[in-house]
Amino acid sequence: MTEVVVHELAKSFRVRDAGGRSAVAQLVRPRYAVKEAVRGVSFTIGRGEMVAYLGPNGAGKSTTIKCLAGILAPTSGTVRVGGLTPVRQRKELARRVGVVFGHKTSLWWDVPVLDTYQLLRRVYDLPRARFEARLELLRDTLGLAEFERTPARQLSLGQRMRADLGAALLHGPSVLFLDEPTVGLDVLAKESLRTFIRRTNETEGLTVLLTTHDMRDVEELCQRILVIDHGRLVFDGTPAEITRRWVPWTEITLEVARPVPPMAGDGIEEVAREPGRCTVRFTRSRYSLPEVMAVLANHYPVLDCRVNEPTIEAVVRRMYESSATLPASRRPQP
Amino acid sequence: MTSAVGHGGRVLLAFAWQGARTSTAYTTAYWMELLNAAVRVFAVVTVWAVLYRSYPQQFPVTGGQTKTYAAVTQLTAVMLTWWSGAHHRIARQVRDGTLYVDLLRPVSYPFQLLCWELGESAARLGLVVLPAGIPLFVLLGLGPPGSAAGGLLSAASTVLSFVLLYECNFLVGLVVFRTLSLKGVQHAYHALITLLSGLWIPLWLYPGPLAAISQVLPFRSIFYTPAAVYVGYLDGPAAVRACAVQLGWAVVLWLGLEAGWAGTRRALSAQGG
Repeated sequence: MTEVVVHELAKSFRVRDAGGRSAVAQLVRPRYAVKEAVRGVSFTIGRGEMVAYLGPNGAGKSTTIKCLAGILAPTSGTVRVGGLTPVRQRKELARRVGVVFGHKTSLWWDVPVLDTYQLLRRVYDLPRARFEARLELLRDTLGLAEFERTPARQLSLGQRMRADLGAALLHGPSVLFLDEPTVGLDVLAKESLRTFIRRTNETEGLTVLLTTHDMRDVEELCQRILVIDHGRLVFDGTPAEITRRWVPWTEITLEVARPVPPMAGDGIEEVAREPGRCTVRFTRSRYSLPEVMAVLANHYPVLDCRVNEPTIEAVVRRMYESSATLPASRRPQP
Repeated sequence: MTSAVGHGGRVLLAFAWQGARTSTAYTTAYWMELLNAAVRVFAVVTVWAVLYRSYPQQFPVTGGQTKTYAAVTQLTAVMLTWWSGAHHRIARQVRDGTLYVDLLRPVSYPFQLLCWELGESAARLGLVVLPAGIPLFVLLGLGPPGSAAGGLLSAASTVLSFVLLYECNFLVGLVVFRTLSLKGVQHAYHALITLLSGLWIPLWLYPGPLAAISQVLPFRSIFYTPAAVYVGYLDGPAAVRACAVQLGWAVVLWLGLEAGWAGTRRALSAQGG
């Protein structure tokens, strides 16, 4: 069953364009330029899917999330979440989705977390028994008990994010939009957040759309990746597919007994060298690992070796780098 | 419909309660606010007492009424904190982007803000205005309401003052969506309130032209009406008429607020924040 439908979504903004003119000229006769934040993006997300929505800064990720959450109206195209049209049915939608913006808290700053939750109980009109049961569950899974009576302003970033996640899930939404939820967190806090999201997805069938710059989030949570760049969707597939497409090679680091001339064969080449060590790259579609090992053993006096499978982080870095250097006309199209 | 009204009432009470909690979140700030309120009322009452003694023939009311008017307006101002209301909250939320968070909730933004402000004002009434005001009334020999009916009408008028001030503040706050800053607008707005609301100078002292201007604007209904009703300068039909004018302004401004917010919401939804 499809939970999120995005069809040919486009969103443009009118922004001030000073264009080198004086401040007075801009005041008297302001000029504007149109910024196309999202351009013809289409995808669907099934119920219970966890999907990463990746892209460099300014690619259009947060704008898409805001369109999905009913905060922004699409300039053209259609968006439906849980069968609802977000902007037109914003209040109904608010009861069905949870949203966490990593950079902004939804907690009331000066009151204890529990008080915020009590207020949200009224806002979402939750029956007391349901609220208590939900709160108990969140206490267990997010470890809220240790700081639920502390005002939001006194929480650590990790605690604040846990409390924010609790606030977003208090009313039992079926869809969760996470906009950089692990930004600024330490390793343990990130791990605890990921565990919670994974568990909620498994137990409640929660649909999750996640934007992040931390590729561990993607590796540990998502079965599918969407990549947006300059407002266009440039990839929609599994982590294995994205790796195949953007980093079609594997690197092998060799410990060698003595220096030999670098190897530069067809589809196998040396890419880095340090004293006693060199790194060789081969194209996976042309060679299997045993074939490459045989070739390398022939050329290098190998003492030891390590195979470096490409991480999602490396794949995405490569993707962003090539996107930044390619002219718009040569960027990958959906 | 009944269920929606019930939900609205529960949300209002919950927000009001949290608004009250927020206003007592900082202990030092609370004690300083209490001290500030007491000093402020004492100072303003003293100034008006001196003025009355110097030029009694200029006043259409007694010295006691003059001092009480000064105390009531200042205590009402403390309760409503007109200088840092909804417009400041909107400006802050637009600046730091937290407005989006409020827009995600299944309750309208103006209603959320109204409830929050109500809670804070109610808290200041109980925790600052009464503890500072009652001893000062005794100490300075200030009077009770002109009559029991006047007292009740003045209380109702103060509730309308809260609504009116909230509406004015919210409408000023909407300007921030265009200018991204309260600067300038705020100074002009605060000047109007200072001059035309009766906060510092009772409007019965104004010369003809200025009094005429104040008659056609809503600001006099914010501080002048409840205080003038309290001291009995406005009583009987005049007091009821003044409160009816307040109510009329509250309705008109609410319609303006709804229309203004709907337009802003459309622009926000099309253009982003």
